[in-house]
Amino acid sequence: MAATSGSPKFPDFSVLKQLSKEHLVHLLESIPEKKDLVIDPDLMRPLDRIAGAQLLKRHGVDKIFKLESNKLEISGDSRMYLARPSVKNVKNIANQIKGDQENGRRKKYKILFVPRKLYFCEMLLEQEGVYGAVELEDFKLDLIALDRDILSLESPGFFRDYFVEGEHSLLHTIATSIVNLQSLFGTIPHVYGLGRCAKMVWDLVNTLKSLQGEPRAPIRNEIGHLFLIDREADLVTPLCTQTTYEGLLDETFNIRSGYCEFGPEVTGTDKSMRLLLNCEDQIFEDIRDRHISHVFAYLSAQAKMVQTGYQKGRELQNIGDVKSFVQTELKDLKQQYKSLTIHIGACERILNLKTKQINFEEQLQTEHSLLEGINLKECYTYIEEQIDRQVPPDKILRLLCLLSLTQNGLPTKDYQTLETHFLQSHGHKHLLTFSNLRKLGMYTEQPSVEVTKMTAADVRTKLTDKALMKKTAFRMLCKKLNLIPKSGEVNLRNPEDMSYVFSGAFTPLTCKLVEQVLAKGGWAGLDDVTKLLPVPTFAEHKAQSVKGRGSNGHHQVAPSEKVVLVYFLGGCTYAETAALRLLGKMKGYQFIFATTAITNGAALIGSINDGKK
Amino acid sequence: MAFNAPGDDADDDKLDDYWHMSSRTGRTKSSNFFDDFSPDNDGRSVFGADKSQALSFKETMKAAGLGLDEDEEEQDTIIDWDGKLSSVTFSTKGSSQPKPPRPSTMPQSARGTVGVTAKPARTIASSYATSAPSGAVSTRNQPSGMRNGSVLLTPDSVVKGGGRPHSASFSTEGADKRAMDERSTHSTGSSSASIEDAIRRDSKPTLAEMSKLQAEVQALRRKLKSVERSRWAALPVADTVTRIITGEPYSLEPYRSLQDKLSLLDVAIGYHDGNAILTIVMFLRRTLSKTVFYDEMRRRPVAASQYIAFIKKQNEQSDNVASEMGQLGRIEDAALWRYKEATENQVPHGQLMNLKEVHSLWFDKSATLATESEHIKEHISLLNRQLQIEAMDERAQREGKPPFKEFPRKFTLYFKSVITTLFYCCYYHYGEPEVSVGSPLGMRQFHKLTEKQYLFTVLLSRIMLRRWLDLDGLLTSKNWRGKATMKSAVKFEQVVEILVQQNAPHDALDKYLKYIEDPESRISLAMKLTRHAVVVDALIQVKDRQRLLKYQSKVPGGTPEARRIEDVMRNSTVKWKN
Repeated sequence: MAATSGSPKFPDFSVLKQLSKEHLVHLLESIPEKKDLVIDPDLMRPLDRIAGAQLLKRHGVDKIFKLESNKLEISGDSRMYLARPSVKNVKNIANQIKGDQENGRRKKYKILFVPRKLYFCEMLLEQEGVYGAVELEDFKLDLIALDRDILSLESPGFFRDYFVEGEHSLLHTIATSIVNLQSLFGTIPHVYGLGRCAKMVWDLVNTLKSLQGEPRAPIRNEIGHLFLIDREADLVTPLCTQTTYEGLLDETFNIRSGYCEFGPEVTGTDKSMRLLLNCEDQIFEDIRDRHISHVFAYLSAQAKMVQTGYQKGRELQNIGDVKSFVQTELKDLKQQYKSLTIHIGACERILNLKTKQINFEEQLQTEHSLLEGINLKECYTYIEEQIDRQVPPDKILRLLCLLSLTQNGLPTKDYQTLETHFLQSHGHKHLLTFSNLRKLGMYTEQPSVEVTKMTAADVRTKLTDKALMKKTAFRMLCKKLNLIPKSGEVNLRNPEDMSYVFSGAFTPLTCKLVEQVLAKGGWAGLDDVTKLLPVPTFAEHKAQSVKGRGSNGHHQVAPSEKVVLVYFLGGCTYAETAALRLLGKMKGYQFIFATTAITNGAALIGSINDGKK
Repeated sequence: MAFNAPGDDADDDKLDDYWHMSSRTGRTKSSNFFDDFSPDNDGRSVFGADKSQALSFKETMKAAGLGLDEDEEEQDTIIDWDGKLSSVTFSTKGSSQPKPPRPSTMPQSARGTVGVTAKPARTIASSYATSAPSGAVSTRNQPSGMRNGSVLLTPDSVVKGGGRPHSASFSTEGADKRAMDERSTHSTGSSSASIEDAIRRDSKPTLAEMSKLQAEVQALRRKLKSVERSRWAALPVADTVTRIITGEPYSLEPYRSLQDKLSLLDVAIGYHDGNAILTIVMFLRRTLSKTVFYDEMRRRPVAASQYIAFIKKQNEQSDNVASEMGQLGRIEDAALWRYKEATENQVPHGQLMNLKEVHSLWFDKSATLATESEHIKEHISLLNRQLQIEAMDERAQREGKPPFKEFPRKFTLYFKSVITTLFYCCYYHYGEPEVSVGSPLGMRQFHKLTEKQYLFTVLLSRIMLRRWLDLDGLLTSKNWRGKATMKSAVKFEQVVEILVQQNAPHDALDKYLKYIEDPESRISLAMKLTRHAVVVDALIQVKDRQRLLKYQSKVPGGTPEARRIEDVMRNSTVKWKN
């Protein structure tokens, strides 16, 4: 699609992989002899996207271990750790080294922190008395290209760390990743930010750039626009149940670093299978953004095509024909066949789960009613009953938060009742979860306004009151941005509206804002919308001094103007990527996504659920 | 600050390693400091003006040069009388000049502190007899308000110094020519006051003097380099923070005044790098009293959050975390943290005691935590109840009493939620009098459970145990005339849903399907569950002939339902609506 002359060019992100790979090889070679490699489990899959076990072995890695809290009893003389800079990891490493020292084993240790060592790493190593025994280096791995158009830091912990705990360490990594992108693909002239974190990141980008100095030869920019979006700015979108194929795959099977693990019930064999899902799988590329209701039809049509392909092979008489068939088509057919089997299996499983649960439809219906702001009484009753019946906590918290977010808080009585019932059903330890939700503004109490005791004049003043306006902020946003199409109006088969990613019930707020800002060239003209948003906005435009493109007379828009990078701080869902890809197709933009991690409602809620054992 | 600090060598090694590494990786930054000392970088270099040079003698006097003038660059050589030690200090803006420039956006406070920061000198031993002439000047230039600095012997500087002939040029005539050459080639244009010059102001500087100065410039340049790496020299606050951000070596020890420390922290907060913030917070914690530390941290919530996030991860089991959070003004968070720690005690009696203590100390009297306090109170009474039931039932199971003999318990009741506990009670203690500790009714009353909460759980337990009679009892209510009707707070759709989930027999399904009041929802649910009899009855009830005909094909022939359809179709008395 991208290769056609009309559409803007994709920046080639394979260079990111290449650079990281070279960096890693360089670090591996810094210990020339054989060494054991101990990897942080969180880094295993991301590392797979950069370098396979083969590459590690080629560069002197003997055995590979998972970094855990155990004592490592291995014989190698040198050992390399590859770990995220977390307190837990550093403690585990220190314990393993101390264990070796107690047993009189002398080894050479090197720790590669990804993407950089933090102050406390050295501090803890020093406190544990092993600082002298280790060598520390940074493996500056930031964005990983998960796909042609998706870049990820693979740091799913950021949402909680930043938005709940106020831990700012990763901002540096995010900013560095932007600086690096700009040094590879040129300075991005238009920057739009949404949220406090976005602003901080952008400040830090500028700081880092001024510390580094301007690049000697500025390269022509390949990316025209950068959006920095706090997840906090739109928490409704990730909580909604996605209805695209890729989104549902993620919610059902949990895609991690682009890999999806399918169990025996999907593969149809007795073993599970790990599949890399990206644009190279042609069948997946065709169905990933489709609405789930139109996936199966496509798959069966494909299956028929594959069948005719095989049939053709069978009917061949001429030896030469058979030879060329085997050489060319058969390989493709086999590949397609394999991919089809998996996708049909997965699709079937998703549809089964949908129909098997008696209340799946009801749940979706509730979700859609909440978004639309209708039948609130029924929604409330449904949620209360689901709580009473001990539906799994993550699932019900999703609805609970939607209930609160779409109404900008609940009336005191409802607020307390639901929380009490939840604690009674799932344990009082969830007090901590609710504390997190309150900090995020995901489950809040409406400031009480006792209308009955007020005179008419009071009511009028109260109506203009900001607090009261905030109460309806979400509803007004929906109205102003037209986020909720009239029911039944959205074509799910050949979508023309971004809301198809939620079965036509809701347009992702983030995506709508991107669309509006691109159309208006900034936040100006969106004042009535921005004042309703829970977070501040900013924009910055670089005067483009190099007007070489315009010099030859015709004022053609630079191709980079059509390339838009959207960076989600705190996670992005596949529904959002699908919606923006559609927007790109309609408006001639090429969207690229960068994110701290791919997320979905379950993952988001799961990360702030403190009631687990 | 010890003479020849033992850590210094190691430190230098590390630094060397750093330079080595960074030049290898080709970072632009790595060459900056060298660049600054290269001759062609003379423009605004460190030796711009003579005023700026201060020469000093006294061993005790360290951070010379401060307050001498308002110039951007200051250096001074401290060379002692007997020629054994000479020290060089470069300070303030001179070191902020290296390109690329530090961002101009840095908070004003950062720059502002520069002037007041004392700069302990790095003294470098030198065996050259360069000291005598310069000695006289220093007393004049001695700045006021210096604090004690350190005298430090840095071996590598000595060696390097020795290796460069022009370092000795102060006392050798022969070096003049060479120094002059240097001057012409580099044209640094240095007119800085030499030591001798300062004594004999009346005479114009001779070429020889100039060349001496020139040579000194060279020496100073080298020394500036080592000072750059020195952990004793305080850089401007913003420079130190940016060094932390870019991962260069830095030192926090020189910042001893509270003002400096706080501007470090504020600059770091202004840059939004969590790692830099934490670095400085930990430095503050180490060097400030608890009171001052907490006072200042309370005023900086961003830093406090960063710090709390760290201690939470670092020290998960310790009570310190909560008390520190309290000190930092996070009273509610601290209380919840204590509650969390209490719940992590896996010994039931212990947890009960912990919970009681936490509740009475931190929640009971708190106005802002009133709701939480109520919840924890409930938690405590729940655990209390669980302890009593466990003691009782554990014994009963050991003695093989019913119902434990028939349905032995698979898990203990401890730490389960209210509803799960209620389920347990419904399973093992159904029908017990309300006063009994295991009574479901008692629980319901105590925890103020709603009808629905109670019914869902009781129904589930009864259905699991296949006690259909109990089920009827629960779903029947008597109206005001005493007539029993099937009616409950829970919709029959939901009853059927639970029945399906528990794989209840078909007749039970049929029975409760029939109680679904709305025929349409009854039909659709029964169709979903393929309960033909119910579908057929309902269709007859709504007198929908067309749908019945359509449905007939789905009903296998010969079954009672099929016969019933045939009967009804033949029956002419039925008034169909279509």
